[in-house]
Amino acid sequence: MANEKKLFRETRAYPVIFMLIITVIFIGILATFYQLSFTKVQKYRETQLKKMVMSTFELPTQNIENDFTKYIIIREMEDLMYYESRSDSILLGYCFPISGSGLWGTIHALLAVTPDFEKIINLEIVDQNETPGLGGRITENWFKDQFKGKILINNNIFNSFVLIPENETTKDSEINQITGATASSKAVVEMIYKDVKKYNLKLRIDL
Amino acid sequence: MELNAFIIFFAAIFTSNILLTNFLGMCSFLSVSKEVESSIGLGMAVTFVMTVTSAINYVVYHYILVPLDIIYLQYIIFIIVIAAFVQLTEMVLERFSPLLYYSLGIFLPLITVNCAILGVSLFMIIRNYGFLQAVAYGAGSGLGWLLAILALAGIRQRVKDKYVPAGLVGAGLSLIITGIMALAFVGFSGIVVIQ
Amino acid sequence: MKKKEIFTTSAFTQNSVWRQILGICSALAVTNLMLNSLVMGLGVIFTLALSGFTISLIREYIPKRIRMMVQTLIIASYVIIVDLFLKSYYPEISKSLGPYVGLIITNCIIMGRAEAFAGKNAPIDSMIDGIGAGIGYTLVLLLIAFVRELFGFGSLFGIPILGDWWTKWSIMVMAPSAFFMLAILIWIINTPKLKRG
Repeated sequence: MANEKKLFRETRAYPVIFMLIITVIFIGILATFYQLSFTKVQKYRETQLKKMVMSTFELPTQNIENDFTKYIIIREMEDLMYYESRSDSILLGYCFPISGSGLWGTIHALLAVTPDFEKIINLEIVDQNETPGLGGRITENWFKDQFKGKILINNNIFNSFVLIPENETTKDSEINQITGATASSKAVVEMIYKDVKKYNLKLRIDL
Repeated sequence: MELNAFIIFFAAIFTSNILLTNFLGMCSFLSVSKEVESSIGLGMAVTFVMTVTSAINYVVYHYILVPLDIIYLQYIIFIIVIAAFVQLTEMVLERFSPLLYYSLGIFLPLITVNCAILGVSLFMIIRNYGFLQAVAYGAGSGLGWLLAILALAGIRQRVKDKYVPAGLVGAGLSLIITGIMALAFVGFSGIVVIQ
Repeated sequence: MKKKEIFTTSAFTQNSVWRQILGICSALAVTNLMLNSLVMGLGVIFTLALSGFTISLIREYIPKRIRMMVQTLIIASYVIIVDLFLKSYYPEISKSLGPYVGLIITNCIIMGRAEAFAGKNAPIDSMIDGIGAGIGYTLVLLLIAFVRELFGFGSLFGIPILGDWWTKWSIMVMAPSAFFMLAILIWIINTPKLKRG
């Protein structure tokens, strides 16, 4: 009995069979974990996104399930999706998803603008994979708050922001970049410019 | 992406060097750079593995993972492809170049966990490279890694007989040299953007 | 070997980072902040313990030829399980760990321990060896991060320690400084040893 077992383990086929079995086992375990966590993760992501959309307009986020539909309408036009925000039937502004290439991957953000598209109301970073502690600091409040109130369109010309070193005082079109994270700071500025143009072009015609 | 594969190739060697800019692939880099010959050998092995595995992983990702909607398995699948390929390379080397096989020792199987190789596969996905670009990136990164390990080996050779404080001999010195090289390469950042 | 001896060997005398020079990639990436180092360290400890245990359990059955692939599969699976678990129950922490998942899978320490210890020793011993190696690794990381975060950001664990008068040292924020810090650490540890020896 022991001899036969030894022989089987030394056959050519054994490694292949072993690998197959163990791969199936472990991938099976992973797939199970994934399925179990999937709905939870999805729900969390959706709620987070809703909270972020609300917070760009400084609307309350405690009771997100009830409040979201009260203030936000989701609109679609061709292949673009955006959020329209109203409070007591006054149009607060539009919020749309923007994205661009950062240093390590795609950065996803939400940009809220005034109804006439001329000023930024707020910027929220939804997803990023930048270096934690460096590029990852684009999620810090001081960085995001800089964009509040910045002018986007002036006399029908799109305004592009200029990046200046971190601790210098900024003038109107200037943004303080993050020291040691020029690429990530640049990515945010550029994607705002690119996507504002895209959304403005498609939306203005119908607004 | 409209980036020329050649540009990616050259950028991967110099301005976006996977080791000196992204700091991946350190472990074997620090240990094998003691000698120039084994550095060349390991560097070529790494280049070979990087190039082929980025090609294979590209195909696997776009034609298997994406259509079947199992992208969350990408880490596992990529690393298994790499591990299998390294095993293959190991067997080939043992057969055809036993000298290199023995001098590389434990570092041949450790190519599997060379973070640079997995990093290359992951980056090409994140940056949405096409097939040719992915292969160019893999080959360039491998050569960039080879360049870096060769540079370190060369410098270590030169410093061998010079005075070094006892506590720094070996690993300590290599780290400092690498740190200086990395600083120098920071100067390259932003010259060519490949993402 | 007794359990305590296994632990102290893998954590201190044969420390993975400054003695065996393994796990460097991650040491460079996360040591700019202490919190990141801690998160990475915990992930590594967990993976080391579980993968050491599992690999040791089936060590008799793993065919020599494919042992790298098997070990890689097991290690990668555990890392992803940790990541999935965090994503579901502690999403905020998972956000800090997210970018490092790949770095933990390819962490040479984990493969190194699997090859050097788990493949030849009993399961519980392997788990202790793994935990020891992980703790040793985490301590080194925290040491380096202490210096880098203090001088680079003026804070520790995100709490500002030095006031606004401190000009932050940008070099501490960038990765090359980790090289220098680690070299200095090795220097400090080795010198008394050599003097004695």
